[in-house]
Amino acid sequence: MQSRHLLILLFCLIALALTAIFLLPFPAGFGPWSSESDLTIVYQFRLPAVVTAICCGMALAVSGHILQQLFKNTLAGPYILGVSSGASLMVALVIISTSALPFISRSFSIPLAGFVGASAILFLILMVSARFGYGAIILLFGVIIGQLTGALQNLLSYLANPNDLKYFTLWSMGSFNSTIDMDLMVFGCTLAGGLIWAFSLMPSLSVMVLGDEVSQSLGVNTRLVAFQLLACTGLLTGIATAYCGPIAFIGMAIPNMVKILFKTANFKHLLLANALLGACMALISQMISSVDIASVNIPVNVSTAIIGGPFVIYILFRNRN
Amino acid sequence: MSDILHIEALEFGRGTSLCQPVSLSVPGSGLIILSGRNGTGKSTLLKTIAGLIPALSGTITIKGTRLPSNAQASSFRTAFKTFNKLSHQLAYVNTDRVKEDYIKVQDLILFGRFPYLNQPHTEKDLQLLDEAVNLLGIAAIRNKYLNTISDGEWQKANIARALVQDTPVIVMDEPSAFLDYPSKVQLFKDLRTIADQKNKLIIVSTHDMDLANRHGTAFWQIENHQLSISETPFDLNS
Repeated sequence: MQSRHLLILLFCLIALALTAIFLLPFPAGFGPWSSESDLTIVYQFRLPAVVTAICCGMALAVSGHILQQLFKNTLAGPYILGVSSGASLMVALVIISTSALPFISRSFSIPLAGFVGASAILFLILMVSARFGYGAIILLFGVIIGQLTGALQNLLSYLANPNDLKYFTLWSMGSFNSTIDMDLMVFGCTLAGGLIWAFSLMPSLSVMVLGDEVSQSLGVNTRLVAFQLLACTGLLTGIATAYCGPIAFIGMAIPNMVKILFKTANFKHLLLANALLGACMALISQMISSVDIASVNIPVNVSTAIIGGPFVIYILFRNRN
Repeated sequence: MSDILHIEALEFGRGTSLCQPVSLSVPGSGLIILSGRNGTGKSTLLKTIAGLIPALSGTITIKGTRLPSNAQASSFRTAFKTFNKLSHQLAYVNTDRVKEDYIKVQDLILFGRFPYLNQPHTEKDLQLLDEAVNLLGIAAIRNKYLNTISDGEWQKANIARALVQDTPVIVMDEPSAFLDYPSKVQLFKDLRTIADQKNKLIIVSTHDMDLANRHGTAFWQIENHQLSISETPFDLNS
C-alpha cells in the first residue's frame, strides 16, 4: 500500500523533472548550447520562469487541497476565499497610482501590493472565522468579498488611462516570467515555510473529515487548527499571487486529480502529491504559453483554463452521479 | 474519586438550562440507556459529558479528569489541553455520516488512534483494529471505501473507531437511529458484549426502548426537566 504511493510520488517527481528539462532549453533548441546568447536565455529567462512556475504551482495546489478539505467542498480553491481578488485590487490601485507618481518602481511595488492585498483579505476572513466558525459561511463570505473587490476593480479600470488598463489586464492574466533573483529567494523561502507548516497540520486535517464534534473528541482543537490552516493558505496564495498574478484552476483541479489518483486517507502523502502535480500543471501551462502560435504567446491563465477547465467540469458531473 | 464518572450539581444546555441540577456517580462499567422525548436534552447532556459543550454550572469528572468550566473552555489553550486529555478517557459517536470516496473503513477506524499520535501505526494500533473489526463482524468490509457501505455498516465502523480509541468511557448519540430492525437488535447485543468483555462504560441515547431495555444495565430518563436514574427499565406505558 505504502509502496504504491511511493511509486506514484516517484512518477510525479520524474514527470516534474522531465517537464522542467524539456522547458528549459525550449527557445534555444536542445543542447549543446554553444553561443553566449543561448546560455543567457536559459539562465536569465527560462530558469527563473521554471522555478517560479514550480513554486506557484505548489503553493496554489496545496492551498486548494487545504481549502477543499476544510470547507468540505470539492469546488473550493484559493480563488473562492477572495484572497486572489484582494491582491488584484491592491495591484490595480498601485498601477494607477504609480502612473501618477512615476518615482515608485513597479517591479518592487506590485508584488508588495499583491501580498498586502491578499493578507488584508485573509485577516478579514480570520476575524470573521474567529467569530462565526469556518463552515460554508466563510466560503460565502469569501465569494461576496470577491464580488465587492471585483466591483471596485471595475471602477478603477473605468477610471484608468489606456496604458495602465492594459498593464493591469496583462498582470491579471498571470505570468511566470516577471521574477528576478531576489524574488526567487523570497518566494522559495516563503513557500518552504508554508509547506512545512501545512505538512505539520495534515494529520489533524485528515481527522476533521469526521466533523467538528468527533474530531474534538479525538483530541483535535478544531478552531485552532482551522485558524492556522487559513493563515497558511493566505500566506501561500498571497505570495503566489503577488509574483505571478491571480492564477486560476491549479488550486481547484489538482487536489481533485490527486484524490482520484491516490485514494488514501494519509494526508501527508496527499499534500506531497498536490505539491508535485501542482508544479507539473504550472510547468505544462508555462510550456503552452511559451509556444509561439501565429507569433502570439498565450497568457498563463488561458493555458491553465484550457488544461483545468474540462477536468473541473468532469469532476462536477462525476459528483452528481 | 475512583468512580469512572462523577457528576455534581450539573446544569446543562445551550445558554439556558434544560434540566434540574444533576448529581450522580457511576462506579464502574456497564451499558447505560438514556431515554426521553425529542427536545428534552438527551444529546445536549451527552455532548456536555463528552466535553463538547461547556457545562452551565456544576462539575463533571471522568476517571479523575475534571472538565473545564464555561469560562475556561473559551480559551484556545484550555480547550486544547482538555480535548487532548479527554480523548484518552472518552470516545464520542454520533450519527453524522461521512461519504468520502478516498477513505477506507479501516482508515476511518484507525482515526480512533489519533490521540496516541502513532505515525506510522504501531503493532498495538493494528492489533486493536483487528480486534474491533472482528468483534463487530465487519472484517469483510474493512477495505471498502466509505461511500460504498450501508448506513448499518457505517454505524458499526464508527463504533469500531470509538473502540480502538481505547477509552474507559464511550458516549453514543442515537446510534440506532438509521438502522433496520435486525441491525438494531444486533447493535444493542454488541454494545452489551463490549461493555462486559472490555470493561467499558457505554452511555447510549435511544428511542428504541424495547430493545435497549433488554440489554441495558442501568437506565436514565429525562422527563419534565428532571433526570431520573434507575437500575431497572422504565415502564414504557407510564
